[in-house]
Amino acid sequence: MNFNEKLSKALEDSAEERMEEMCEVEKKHRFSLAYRLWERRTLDRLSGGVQQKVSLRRLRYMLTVTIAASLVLIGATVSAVVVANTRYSFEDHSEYSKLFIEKLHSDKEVIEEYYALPEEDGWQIKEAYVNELSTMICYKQNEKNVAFSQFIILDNYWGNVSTEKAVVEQMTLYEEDDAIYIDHATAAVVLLQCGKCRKRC
Amino acid sequence: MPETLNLEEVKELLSTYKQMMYKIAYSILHKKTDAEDAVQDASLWIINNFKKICDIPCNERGFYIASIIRSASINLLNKQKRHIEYDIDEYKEKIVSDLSAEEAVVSKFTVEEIKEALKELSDSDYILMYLYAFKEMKPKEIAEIMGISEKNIRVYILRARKRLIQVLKRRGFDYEL
Repeated sequence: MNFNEKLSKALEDSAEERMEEMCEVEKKHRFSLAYRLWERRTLDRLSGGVQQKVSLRRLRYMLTVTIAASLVLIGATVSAVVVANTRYSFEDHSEYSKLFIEKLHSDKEVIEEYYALPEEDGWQIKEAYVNELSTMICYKQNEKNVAFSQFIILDNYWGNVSTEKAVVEQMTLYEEDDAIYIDHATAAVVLLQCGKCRKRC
Repeated sequence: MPETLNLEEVKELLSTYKQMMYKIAYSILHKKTDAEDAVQDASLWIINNFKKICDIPCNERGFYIASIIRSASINLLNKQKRHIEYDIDEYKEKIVSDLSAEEAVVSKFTVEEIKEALKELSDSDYILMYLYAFKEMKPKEIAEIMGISEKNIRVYILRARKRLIQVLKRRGFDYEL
């Protein structure tokens, strides 16, 4: 047996173990929002859903611009404020079936109710911005501010996204776990959490 | 895109190897965004050549995918001009002369010793050895899968083999002639 034959045998014997090692990941990488959206769009395209090709770099750029614009809008006036009496948290929770997200200007009352921001409690919209991609609303009650941004990223569908039927994942955009990514059969939604909302007891 | 492409199979394949692909890409590119770009390129290649991938036996698929992501990462390095094209003739001459001097020595290594030494090789070197020495693929075929020039593949193979022999020697498996 010459060296090449021995090498071949050694490779054959060790291949399975090596592959297992290669697949072992100490800390699972959380792919960026841009990557997940690209993957989703690409897979949609395979099933005939989306026709447009978008590169990961372009998506990353678009997201950065959108999020930056949102944050500038929310900007200096509203910072991350803890709202102690908000009824619902943004935590991803398996039984969190009541939370659904909708384009705000069409269903403002429902959202206010879900986020415990009704006018009778003194909450008022301070700033609002809605476009095709995102909705940014800043609410104010005396000295308390709540700002949240909602990015609905989808080509041809607007609708409710129930966490009951979707995969909800906490993700990091700027600060640790500052956003939630909801992957639904028909929509991908990113909820950017500005301020830590806590569940009211 | 192939008409018969099964979306669920594509999803499953990508999800199975996504973390591995990222790990390899990151080890080459050392930057998260670049590594994700490489995973994207590799995923697209896999989708576009899905039938080819499916034809590969399951237990070997991982190595092909690993070689694809490695190539995607190196291509990215090339685009960023962080990588150089080797002059095969100059390089080969030097390595081949070294290797031929060692040929008589290396033939004395046992399979077990080689197996142990293989553990110390990087994933990239191992994959190349696997495709070249075990699957007996020609450098041209490997170059096609990896999207790298045949010249460079030859250099990588020679270097991987040289590193393997160095490991064998360092581990005390050196035999005096």
